[in-house]
Amino acid sequence: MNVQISSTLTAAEKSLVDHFDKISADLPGSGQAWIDDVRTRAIQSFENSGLPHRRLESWKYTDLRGILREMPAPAQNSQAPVLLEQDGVDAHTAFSSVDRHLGVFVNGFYRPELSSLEDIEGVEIIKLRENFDDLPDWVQEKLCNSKVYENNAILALNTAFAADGAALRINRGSKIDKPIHLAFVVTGKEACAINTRNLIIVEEGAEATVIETYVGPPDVAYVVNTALELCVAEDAVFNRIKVQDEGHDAVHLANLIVSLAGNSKCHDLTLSVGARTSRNEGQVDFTGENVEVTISGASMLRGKQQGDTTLCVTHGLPSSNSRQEFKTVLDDHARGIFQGCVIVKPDAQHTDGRQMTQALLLSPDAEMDAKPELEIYADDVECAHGATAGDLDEDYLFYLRARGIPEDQAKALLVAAFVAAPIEEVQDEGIREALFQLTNSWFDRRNSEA
Amino acid sequence: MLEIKDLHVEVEGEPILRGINLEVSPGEVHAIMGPNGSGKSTLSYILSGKEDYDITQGTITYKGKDLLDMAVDERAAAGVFLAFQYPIEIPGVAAMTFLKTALNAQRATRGEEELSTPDFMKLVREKTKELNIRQEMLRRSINVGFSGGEKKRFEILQMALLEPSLCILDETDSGLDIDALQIVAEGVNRLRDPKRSMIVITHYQRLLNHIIPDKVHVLSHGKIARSGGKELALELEQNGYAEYENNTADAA
Amino acid sequence: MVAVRETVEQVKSIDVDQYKYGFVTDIEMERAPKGLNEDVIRFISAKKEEPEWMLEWRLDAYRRWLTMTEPSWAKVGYPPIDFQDLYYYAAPKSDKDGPKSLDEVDPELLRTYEKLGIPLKEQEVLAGVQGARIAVDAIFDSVSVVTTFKAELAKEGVIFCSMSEALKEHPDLVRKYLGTVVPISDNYYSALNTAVFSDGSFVYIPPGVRCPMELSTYFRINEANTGQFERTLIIADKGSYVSYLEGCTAPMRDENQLHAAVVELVALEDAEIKYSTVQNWYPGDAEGKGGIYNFVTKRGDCREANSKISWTQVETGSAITWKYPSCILRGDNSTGEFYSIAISNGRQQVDSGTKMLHLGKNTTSRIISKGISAGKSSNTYRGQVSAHRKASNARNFTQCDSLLIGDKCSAHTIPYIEAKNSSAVFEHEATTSKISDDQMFYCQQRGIGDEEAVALIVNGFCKEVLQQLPMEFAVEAQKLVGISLEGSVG
Repeated sequence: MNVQISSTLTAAEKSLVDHFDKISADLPGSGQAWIDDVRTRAIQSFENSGLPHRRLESWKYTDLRGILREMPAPAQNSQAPVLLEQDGVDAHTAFSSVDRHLGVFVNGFYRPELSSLEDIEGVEIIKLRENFDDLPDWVQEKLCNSKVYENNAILALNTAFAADGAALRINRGSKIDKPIHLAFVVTGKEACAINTRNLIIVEEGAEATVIETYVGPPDVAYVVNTALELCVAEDAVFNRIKVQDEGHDAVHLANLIVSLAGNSKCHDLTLSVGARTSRNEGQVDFTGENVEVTISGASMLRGKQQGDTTLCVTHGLPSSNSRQEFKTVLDDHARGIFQGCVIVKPDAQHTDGRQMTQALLLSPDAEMDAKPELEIYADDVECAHGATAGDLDEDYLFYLRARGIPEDQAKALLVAAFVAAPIEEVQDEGIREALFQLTNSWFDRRNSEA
Repeated sequence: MLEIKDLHVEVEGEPILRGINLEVSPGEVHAIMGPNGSGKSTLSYILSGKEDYDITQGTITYKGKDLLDMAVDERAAAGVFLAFQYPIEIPGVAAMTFLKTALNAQRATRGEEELSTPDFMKLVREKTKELNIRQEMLRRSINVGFSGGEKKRFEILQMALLEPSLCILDETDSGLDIDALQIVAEGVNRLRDPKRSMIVITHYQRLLNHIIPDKVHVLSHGKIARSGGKELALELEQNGYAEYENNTADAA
Repeated sequence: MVAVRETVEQVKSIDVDQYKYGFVTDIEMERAPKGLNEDVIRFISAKKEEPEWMLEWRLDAYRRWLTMTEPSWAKVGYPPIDFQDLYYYAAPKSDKDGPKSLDEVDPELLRTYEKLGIPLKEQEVLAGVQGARIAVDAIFDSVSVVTTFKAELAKEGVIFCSMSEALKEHPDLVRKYLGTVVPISDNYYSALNTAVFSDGSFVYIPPGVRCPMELSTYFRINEANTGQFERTLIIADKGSYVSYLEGCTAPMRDENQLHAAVVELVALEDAEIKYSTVQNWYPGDAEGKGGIYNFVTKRGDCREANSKISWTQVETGSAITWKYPSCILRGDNSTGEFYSIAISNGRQQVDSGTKMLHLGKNTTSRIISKGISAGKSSNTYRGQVSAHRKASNARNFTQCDSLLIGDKCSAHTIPYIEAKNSSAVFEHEATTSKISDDQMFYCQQRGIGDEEAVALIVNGFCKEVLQQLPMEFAVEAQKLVGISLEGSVG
C-alpha cells in the first residue's frame, strides 16, 4: 500500500499519510480485498484534498489545517483499567442514573467487560473490530459506500483509519425498552488519534433512543474523529442524544449522515461543552415523504474553545418537515460557529423547513459567526430561518437580582434558561434531567476549569 | 426605616428627580401619587438599585445603612422589595425554580439555613392558596403566558414568600379589573405589619380604597409638591392633577 | 379600494411588449480600439484630458487587475467573458468637448431621453407636476451628455456634474475622496472599472446644506459590444443631506453586454445620503439570450459620527446582477440602511445583497430585502453583517423575504452574521413562500385577472421597500414590478 506523498501537504497531513502506511496492515479487516480497497481509496481521497482550510466555503470559520499543526499517532488498544465515574459532573457521570444499555469504548476500542450490550431484545449489535473479518452484508454495504466521504476529508480519514465502532440494527417493529448508551472515553496522558465508525439502522416501524457521550482527560491534545451513519426506515421513530464533553485540549471532529424514509420521525440533539476545537457536521437526506426531523443542539463554550456546527438538510422529496434549532453560549475568548443549510429541491413541494440559531455572548472577547442558508428550488413551500446574537438581557438580570439572587447565580439561571428550549423537547425524562444537570452546572463549572 | 434626603437624579443629563425628601417609619404605608412623567417609577427603580440613573445629589438611608452603597441583590436580601409595574417575561426559567432560588439566596446572604424542598413546597402551597394562584402556573417560565392579573398576583406571591421589610408597589393596580384588584389588595393588606413599611405608587386613588395609606404625597416635576393624610388622595380624585401639571414654576 | 384600483389601472396601462426601452438610437459614435491594454487606458485618460496622477492610478489598477481572477462564489453562471472583445470607450461624436448646455446637445440624444421618459429640459420639468424637480446627469454609453439645473444647484454650493468635468474643475476634491471607499484592488470588477471608467456623476454637498432637489443620473447603454464602466462619487460634507436617484436601461441585443460600475459614497459628520436605484437594464429574452451583465460595486462610508447612508434598490433588469451596496459604519452612532426589491424572471440570475460593517460605537443597521423569482430565474440574497471588537452596542435588524412564482425558479438566502462584540445585538429573519392560492382566489373572485392579481400581491409584498423611494420613482417602480412579472403566471 504505497501512497505517494505530495509535497504540498502540511506536517500534520504528511504524518496522517505516514501513519496510514505504518498501521494499515494492522487495521481491523486488513487483508480482505474490499476493506483494503475502501481504506486505500479513502486515504487517497484525503491526500488529494488535505485537511480542510478556511478557503473552503464550508470551513470558512474553522481553519482546521491551521489548527491541527501536529497529528498524534493512532490510539493503541490497551486493556488498562478505567475509572468511568468522575467526581465532578461530566457527560458520562450525568447519565449514570439513567436506566440504559451501556456500551463503553476506551480510546476508541470496545470494552466488553465495562459494557452491557448483550441480548437486547430487538437489536442486533455488531462490534466492528471483533467482527471485521466476517461483517454481515448490511454493515458491509454501508461501509463500502464511498459516496459519503467524497468532498469530506474528515470522513475520508475516518474511513481510512476506523479501528472500531458499533453497528446497530433495530429490528422491524421493535420498540427498544430503554436507551442504548454508547460511551466513548479517552484515558491516558499520551495524545492519540481515535477513529470510530458507527452505524445505526432502524427498520420499518421500529423505535429506539441512542445516547452518545464523549469524555476525556482535560490536558491531553488527543484527536477524536467519529462518524455515524444513520438510516431510519419507514414509520420508524429514532431519537439520538449526543454529548460532547471532551477534554479542553482535545479536537473533536464528528460526521453524521442521516437518511430518512417515508413517515419516519427523527429527533437529534447535540450538547457540546468540551474540546478546544470541535466540529459537528451533519447531512440529512430524505428517501420518502412525510418525514419529521429535528436536528437541534446547544453549545456552551469558554476559554479559547471553538465549536462549529455545520448542517445541511436536503429536501429532495415532497411533504416533509425539518427543523434546526441551535443555541450557543460563549464566554471568555470562545468562538461559536453555526452554518446551517436547508435545500429544497424542485420536487420537494409542500416542504416545511425551519431553522433558528441564537447566540448569547457573555464576554466582550467572544465571537459568534452564523451563516443560516436557504436554497429553494420549489415554490409551494414554507421555509424560514432566524438568527440572533446578543448579550444577557439587563432587564432579566435586574428582575432576578431585585429578588435577592446574586449576580453570578442569576447569570447561571439565565444561561441555563437560554439553552433550555431544545432540551425540553427530549422525550425521555431521565435523559432530559441528565442534560439539564450538565447545562445548569456549566456556569459554575467555569471557575473549576478556568 | 427609610430616609431620603434631597435626592436628585438624572437620566442622560435630563433631571428627573429634583430634591426628594421622604421619611418612612416602620409599619407605615405611604402613597405616592402624581401625574404621568412626574418621576414616580424612577423613584421605585432608584430604591431597588437599577443602573442607568445618575444620582447627582442626596442620600438614602435604609435601616441606618447607606442604601445607595448596596448592590441590587444585597438590597433585596436586606428586605427591599419592588413589585414591578411591568413584570418581565423570562423564558426558560421556571417560576417555581426562581422562587426557590430567590428565597434561598436571600436566606444565604442573611446567614440563614436553606429551606428544604418539602418545607418550601409547603410554604408555597399556603401562599398560593391565599392569592388564588394555580400551582400549574408556577411550572411555567417566569411571567410567560401569564395574564396581566396573574403577573401582578405573582409579584405579590413573591412579596409574601420573601417577607421584605420595605415593599414598593409600582402601579400595582394598573391593568387590573376590580376582582383582580381586590385579590391583590387583600394580599398586600395581609402583609401589613408594625415592622414592615410600604410605599404604594399609583396614579389613581382607587387602589387606596383598598390599601389605606397613612400618608399621601404628590410628586410633581421631580419634587414632592404636597403631603397629607389619606384625605389628600380623595381630593386629587376630585380635582385631578391639573394644579400640579401646570405648576412648572420651579421646574428649572 | 382606491389604492387597489389605482394599481390595477397602472398595470393595465403597461405596454404589452415586455421591455419598452429596447430601442437603439442611431447616432455617430467615436470609439476606442477594441480590446484592453495600457494603450487603451492611455487613450481614455488622454481623451478626458486627465491629470497625470489619474493615469497612473488607472494603470496601477489595470496591472493589479491582470493578476486577479473573476469571482466565482456567486450563485450565477455565464460563459467566460472575453475582455478583449469589448469596446471600453464609446462617445457620441458630436460630444467633442463634453456637454455644455442643453441647446448644444445632439437632438437625437434628447429624443432618446424623451422616449425613455427622462426630463432633460429644465422648463418642461418646471412646468411639470407639483414642483417635482429633479436635476439629471444623463450618461450615454461612456460619457455624460448633459447635466441639468447646475446653475441653480451652484447657488447653494452644490456641485453636481460629470466625473470628467469634476476632474477638471475640482481636481482636489476628487483626488481627496476617489478610491477611498472602494480601494483599487477591492475586487475584480472594481479594479477593471478603475482602469477604464470613462465617466459618471460627481456630487459634493457643502457643510450644512440640504440639497434643494433630487439629484439623478440616468444611464443608457446604446452601442453594441460596449462595456459601460461609470464611476460615481458622492460626498456629503458635515451636516448636509442629499437624495440621489439612478436609473438604467439598454437596447435589446442578442449578445451580452458588460456593465461594471463603481459607486462611492462618503458621509461626514451628521451628514445623510439617500441613494436610490431603479435598475432596468435589458434582461435578455425569455430564453436567456442577450442582456446586461450588471457587475457593480457600491459602497458607502459613514466616515464620521452620526452620519447615515441609506441604499434603496429596485432591481428588475439585467441578465445577471452581482451587486452588494454596502455601508461601512465607521463613525460612532452612524446608521446604514439597505432596502431592496430584486425581481427575476425568464432566465435572469440575481445575486445581490449588502454588507453592513459595524466598526464604530453605537452603530445601527437595517436590512429589508424582498426577492421575487419567477420563470426559470434564480434569485439569491447574500448579506454580511459584522461587528468588530470595538463596535460596542452595534445593532442590526435584517428581514429577508423571498417569493416564488412558478415551480421552475429558485430563491436562496445566504447571510453571514459575525458578532465579535458581546454588546452587539443582531437579529435576522428570513422567509420563503409563494403567493397563496387563497390570495389569488380572493383577487380573482373580485374580477381581477391573474397578472394583475400577481402585480397587486407582489406590490404589497414589496411595500416596505417601495415606501422608501422618492415619490416620482415609487410610481415608476410599482409599474416596473408589474411589467417584470408579465408572463410569469398561467
